[in-house]
Amino acid sequence: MSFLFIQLLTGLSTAAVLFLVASGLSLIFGVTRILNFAHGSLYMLGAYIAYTLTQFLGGAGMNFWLSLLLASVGTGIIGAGIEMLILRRVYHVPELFQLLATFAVVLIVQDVTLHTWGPEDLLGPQAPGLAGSITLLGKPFPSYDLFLIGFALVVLAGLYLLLHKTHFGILVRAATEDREMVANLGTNQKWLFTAVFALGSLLAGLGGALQLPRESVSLTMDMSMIIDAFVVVVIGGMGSLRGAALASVIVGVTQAFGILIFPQITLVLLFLIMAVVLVFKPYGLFGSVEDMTVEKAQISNGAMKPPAPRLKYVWIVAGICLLALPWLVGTYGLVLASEMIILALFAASLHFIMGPGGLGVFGHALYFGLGAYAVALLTKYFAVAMPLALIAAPIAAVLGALVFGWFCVRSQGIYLAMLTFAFAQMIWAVAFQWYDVTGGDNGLLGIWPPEWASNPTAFYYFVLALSGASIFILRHMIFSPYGYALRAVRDQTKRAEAIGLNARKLQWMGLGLAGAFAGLAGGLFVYSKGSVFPTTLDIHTTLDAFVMTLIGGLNSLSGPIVGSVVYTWLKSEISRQTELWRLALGLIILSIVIFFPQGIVGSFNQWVRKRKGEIG
Amino acid sequence: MKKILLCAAVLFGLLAAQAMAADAQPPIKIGALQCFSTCARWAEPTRNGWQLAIDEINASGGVLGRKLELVTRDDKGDPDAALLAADDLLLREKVSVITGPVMGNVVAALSSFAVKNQLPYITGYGAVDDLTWKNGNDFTFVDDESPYTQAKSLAQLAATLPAKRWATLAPNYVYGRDFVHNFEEELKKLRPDVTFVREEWPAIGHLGAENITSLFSNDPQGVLVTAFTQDLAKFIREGNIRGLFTKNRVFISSTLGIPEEMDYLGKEIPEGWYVQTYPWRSIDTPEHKAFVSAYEAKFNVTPKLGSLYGYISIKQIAAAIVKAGSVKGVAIAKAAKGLEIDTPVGPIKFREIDNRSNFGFWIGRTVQTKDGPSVVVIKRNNIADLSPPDDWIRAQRNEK
Repeated sequence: MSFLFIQLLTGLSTAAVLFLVASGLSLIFGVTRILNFAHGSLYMLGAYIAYTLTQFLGGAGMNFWLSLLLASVGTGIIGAGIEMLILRRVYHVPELFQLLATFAVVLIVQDVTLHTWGPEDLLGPQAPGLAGSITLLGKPFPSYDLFLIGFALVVLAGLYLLLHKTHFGILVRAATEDREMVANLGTNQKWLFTAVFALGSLLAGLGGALQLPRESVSLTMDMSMIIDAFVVVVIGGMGSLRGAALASVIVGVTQAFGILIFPQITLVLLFLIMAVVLVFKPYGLFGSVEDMTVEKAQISNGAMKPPAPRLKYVWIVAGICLLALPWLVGTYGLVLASEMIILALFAASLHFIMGPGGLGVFGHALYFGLGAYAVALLTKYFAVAMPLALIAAPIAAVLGALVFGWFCVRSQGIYLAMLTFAFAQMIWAVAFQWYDVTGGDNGLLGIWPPEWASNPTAFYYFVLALSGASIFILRHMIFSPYGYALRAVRDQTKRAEAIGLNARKLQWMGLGLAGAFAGLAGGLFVYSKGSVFPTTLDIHTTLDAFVMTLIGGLNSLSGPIVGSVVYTWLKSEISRQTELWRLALGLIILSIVIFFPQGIVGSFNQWVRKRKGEIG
Repeated sequence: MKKILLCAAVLFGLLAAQAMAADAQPPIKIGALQCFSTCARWAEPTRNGWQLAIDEINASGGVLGRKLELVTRDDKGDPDAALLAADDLLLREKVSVITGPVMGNVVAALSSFAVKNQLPYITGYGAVDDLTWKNGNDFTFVDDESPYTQAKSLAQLAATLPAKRWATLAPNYVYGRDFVHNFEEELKKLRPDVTFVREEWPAIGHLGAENITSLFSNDPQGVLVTAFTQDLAKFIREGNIRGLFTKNRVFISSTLGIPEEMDYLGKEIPEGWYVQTYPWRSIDTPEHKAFVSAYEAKFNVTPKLGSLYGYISIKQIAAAIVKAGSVKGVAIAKAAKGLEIDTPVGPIKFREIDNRSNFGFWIGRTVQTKDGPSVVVIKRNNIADLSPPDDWIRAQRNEK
């Protein structure tokens, strides 16, 4: 009994830190509508700054607490800086681009932190006066953890009072409800946004600084926290403070007791909780459907037109270049080109569902990975030949897309994104943990294409033919009656339904289609690498697809193709030239977001039209 | 649209130019991959070890009359990125050998790449049993001790201790899972009276206080800890705070004694833990002392396990090239078979049976000294005794 009580308290102390970080994330989203992927980075910075301050001021007595306070204020100032320098320039661009901007900040902060504080993990001091344990029901419990629980309650109360009893709080809540109305009533939105972003960052930094007595400060803190924080915010309902509080408790306590029953459930539990909540409450515990309407329309603005006839020549010339490529570049160039083309198909499939489909999915790695594992398992255990395995890849992915998609299309916006992410993480966990079949994290090796396709030139042509045909089909789908219906649902759901279109079914089919081509790309990817790993299913694969699609531009068919070529090339070339490749890549992505807010191709098209005087 | 074409032409031109620039150069190139960005704390010591060995070899005239050149690439902690970088190293840089990373899945990927391209892969870290057994091949050579023999050795030690009720804490991935499985199997074989009362499997980097309370919920007398990095730091700190490291409990760890873990935890390291280690402070052969002082003089930091592995693997690569008298992949791989060289930690040989070296960890108990935490060495693992039977290994390697 006393053990269960201690376990409950342990879960609550986990919840306390989760709440501090998640409440900041939720506040920022509520007011600015920005999905701040850099929130984990701010959390990490808070911890690093607090460490340095305790070393500088000495970690004893009041100086320890002063260090923590200064670290959180410092993080708040950094947050304000990020908001003023970067985010202010991207409020007008589509919402997903803002996410891309914060992702660039993540990359930049990672390299800056590594080179400021060095590669070693750092161990900070214990909290003075709270270093030991107290005995509760005969069991030891760290007094600092007890303090954390109390402190989180104080912060919750403080935030509640701030939001409900101050002028600033009223503005924040009003902006969360309807920010345009707040602007119309004469509030200076600029400073409101900056203040909220600074407050949210301060809370993230505080969460990080408070970890100092509990764990080492390390360079992986950012990614391990951001996912947890997003999950909490989504479960609670975006922008809801009490939602964040309740969800933190649910997550913390479920984890504490979940591992008692299933010790190996650790990889998947968090996502299981989120999926269950979102299946029953598609907008989180305290979220509402109204929050999502603005977002949805913003995913893609403007209609997509069939390409002008003269563009045909561009495609023909590009095709000739691609066919002649083996004579133009070396063997490595061909290997790289094959990878680019496979990823272009992957990005094009994501573009199909995100652009014309209007669904901001954030788990596209799921279909890529399903296709990849279908190929690998069939080859490894049934010695299936490549052509047959490549037919199975899209089938496996479609089945996955239809099963998971059925749940997903009932959600919208960020909730839909996170639900797709949760499903991807679950399948990732299966691949990661089902060692006897999938080889676990060490993957399945030695899956090479057959003799006739094994040299780089032959494989390149094979990939070019299959991906080229697939992209052509995808393109054809967009301008088919089905494609028009899908876009009608995206732009005017209610009207589309009124004329008899089944919105959910159309989107569901769209997910299936996108999944099929992502699966084919995954299958090809396995043959290009000769192996498969759970990393094909993880968040980095999802992020890569996402970045490729967005930097190319959502409003053009060539967007994902250009995006994947540029991104793959940048990633491999910059890291050859400098170890600061994350910093460089982050800065490049930021410039694209700021200077080409329609993506590379989209902005280019706009520039062409402007020159011709088609638009003002 | 012409602009797009122009851009494409420039892009392809750049690719072509880079492909042409990578023609044969006088030095012998060694391709080295590590996760410099994503796990720098493991990567940097390895890089220093490589560099020290390369500089020593070049100072004494190089290999086959040619200098050695290290070409490093960031594997980004991702096997697929590592494979693309390996293609770059092989096709553009024309390296003769590759060496590198620490992460098990990246090592496994490169091993498969090596055999496909007949490119020798001679490397330090490789804590994956399958690497040299089930997926073993003629082009992959590994210095690291296999997790199987590590677990067996620690289980044999555990069998001599009075503890009967054991609990295990391992990260939830292949290394952790195999380690616990092998440890339990061996210990139960030697001590039928032993029971395992609790297993904890936190995700890597996500060990929470709830794992710790749960681990101790059945009051185990012995605890096996294979968590590492921030998980290990959290476990040590929470254990100290909660007073869990009591005298009547024994702790065995495969990770705590590794310098990468031990050195920064400092005063927090509990005394009396049984650990496997590389006791760089206390090996006092002249060869090792020379290695440590050269290392400290050059980099102004103390050596870690990765430094030793990096140093040894470059020396092995050089020796294999000399023995082969050629930089051809097949010849180097043939020469590396059964290769034995002198190292700071004694002679090290790639066993003919599985191409894994006979390097064995030291086993000892942690103590706190005025210079910081240290390990009192009890014995050193003898790989010949701990390895599975040769017939079994042959069967595993031929199964493919």
